[in-house]
Amino acid sequence: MFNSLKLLGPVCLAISVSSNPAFAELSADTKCVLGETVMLSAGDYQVVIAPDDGEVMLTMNGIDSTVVTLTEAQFAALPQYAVATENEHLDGINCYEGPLGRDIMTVIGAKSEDTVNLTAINDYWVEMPVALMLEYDVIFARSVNGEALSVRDKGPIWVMVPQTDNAELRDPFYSTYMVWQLNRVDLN
Amino acid sequence: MYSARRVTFAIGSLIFVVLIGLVFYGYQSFQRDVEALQIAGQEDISWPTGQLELELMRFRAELHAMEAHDGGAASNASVNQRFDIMWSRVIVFQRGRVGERLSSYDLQTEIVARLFATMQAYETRVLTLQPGDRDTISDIDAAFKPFSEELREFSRRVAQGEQQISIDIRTQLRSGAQRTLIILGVATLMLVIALLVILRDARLSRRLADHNQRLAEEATRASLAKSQFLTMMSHELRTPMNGVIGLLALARQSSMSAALNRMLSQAERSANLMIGLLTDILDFSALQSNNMPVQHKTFSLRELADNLRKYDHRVDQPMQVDVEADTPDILLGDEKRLTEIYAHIMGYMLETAGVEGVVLRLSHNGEMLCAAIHYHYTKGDIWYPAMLADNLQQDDDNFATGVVGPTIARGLCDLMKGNINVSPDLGEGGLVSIEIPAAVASIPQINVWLETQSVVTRKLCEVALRDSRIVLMTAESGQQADVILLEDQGQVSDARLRALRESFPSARAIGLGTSAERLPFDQYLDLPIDIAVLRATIIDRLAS
Repeated sequence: MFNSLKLLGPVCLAISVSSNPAFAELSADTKCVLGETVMLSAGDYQVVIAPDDGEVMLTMNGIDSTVVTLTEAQFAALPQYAVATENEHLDGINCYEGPLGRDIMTVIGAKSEDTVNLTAINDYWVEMPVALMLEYDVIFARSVNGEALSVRDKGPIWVMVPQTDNAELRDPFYSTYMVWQLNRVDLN
Repeated sequence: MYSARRVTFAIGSLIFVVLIGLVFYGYQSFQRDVEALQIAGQEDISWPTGQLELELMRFRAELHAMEAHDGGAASNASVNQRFDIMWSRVIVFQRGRVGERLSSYDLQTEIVARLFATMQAYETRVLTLQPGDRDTISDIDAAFKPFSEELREFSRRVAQGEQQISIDIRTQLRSGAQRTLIILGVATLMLVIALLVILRDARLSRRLADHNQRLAEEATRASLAKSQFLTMMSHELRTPMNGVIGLLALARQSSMSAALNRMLSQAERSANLMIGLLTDILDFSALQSNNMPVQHKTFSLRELADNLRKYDHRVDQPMQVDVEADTPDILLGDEKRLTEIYAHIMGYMLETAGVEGVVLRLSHNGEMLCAAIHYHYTKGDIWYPAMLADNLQQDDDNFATGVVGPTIARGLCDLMKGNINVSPDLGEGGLVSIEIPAAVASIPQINVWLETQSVVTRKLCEVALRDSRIVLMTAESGQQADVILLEDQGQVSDARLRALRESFPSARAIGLGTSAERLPFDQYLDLPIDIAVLRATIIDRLAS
């Protein structure tokens, strides 16, 4: 009886996975694991702090009025993670890759009681508490399902709140923090 | 009562159906409320249309700026960036739940689809737009200009649609609350009805219970009246029967012919049997009305055996009764009832069943008085005296007079917490075993020194003191006396009393005589002797 159930287990799992259209959209070679934040690379801070003449992708005004600018290469040199989550702007669960918000906050010297303004290319901005980024794995996604985000499709950076893994974040209030076309972070 | 149950069942079924309906209705309502709350928790889709409208305006403004100021490469980049941003706003309409909801407002006009088609058509021209190329700029602006008004109308439509959804949600939640109120009201009403039905049923049940109790009391009273009538009649019949027996006995004392004497003897015996039957009826009535007292007094087992041997019954055959050696003689129990049990059962076996070789052996196993009645039955068929052990014969509709005795015996046995077991005679003799609790009495004995002048006084004293616990001493006893009974004869007795006190210093001296209180004695009883007073005095001494 129990052996039969054990044999049936993977079959049932397969059925339940394949019957979930959101999960089914994750490609077979996805770097994400459902329910986990996967670390893709430990990062290289030497590259982050080294001078780079490339096009600035993200400008950050940090503590003591310090300005940190990151080119695409420097942004990619931050520790990279992959988080699978869903939102109302894309179909199903997708795999978002990029540095975590808490690492970005470390770079600009933000503390948990601080807030930051997240500003998009079109000057739209929203104020976000740093504590939220320290508590949850908020990701500054540079790519979705392995494809880099362009300006025409929410790029270069899309702030993603992990709503799938945290039921308490599944509210339109937290959706307002998911700024796309991000190009500036200002510590208040 | 039957119709009342049907009404209760109908109301209960109705309540059940209504409650099931309420559960279903409540579930539906709850689901609708959940759906409404889910919609209320969705992303706001008013802003993407406004954003698209705004980005179109900004794109066109950049075009106009480029046309007016001829800004060079920087202006071209700004136009391209605005174009890209506008592109990204259009993409919002194509994916996700937000895109799906937005598209539902654009199914007929297809503004966004047309805008996107226009963007795709003009993409190359926008990307390669050169400053100063006023014609191209005008063309592009002319192509996008109509969408400004359409997008404004679209934004208004979406905003109105979302407001309507909000209104619908509020209406849904309000009606959901009303439905919940209705469900609660109906459920409360059902509960009240159920409570009323339960109260009504409880009242009916209580009335039924009262009625049953009244019937039971009436039946008990009727039974009691019957028993009392039986008892009274039996008692009333026994009194004249005693007169008959007495006169028959007197008649037999006179000289009569042998034939007449034989008839008188027969009549006397019949009268005795009648007395026995009346006594049985009295006992039976007492058992039926639980009014049969059972005593716990000391008695001599061997005296009980003697009485059984002399028991008068209808068969000219004495009862053979043995007491096993080493069986304690003084037991605690009701001697009279025990005698009746054994006599009734043995009488039945001898008189009614006609068995032979009936022998009663009495013994004691430490807790129970065991009576083993051995018998032989050699009349062919196997006789199984079941009525001795079971209660079937107490059925009032089928009561044979022959089993009155065993019924009384069984009733007495139950009353004394005993049991009767019967084994049939299968060729080697049968056995009726009767076990009745009877503790062995540890009776202290009292030694009485009796000294009288008159033979009559002595005989009376001996009768009064006939008790297994009382030992009348003789000169040879050589024991200490506990009580000295001395017939008082004045000075002579004083000397004798002194002598006896020296011999038995701890004994209590009781004087028997006619004088006033005599100081030399501890106690004084008047002559002629009152047997009961004398006996009570000695028993008191024994108790102390």
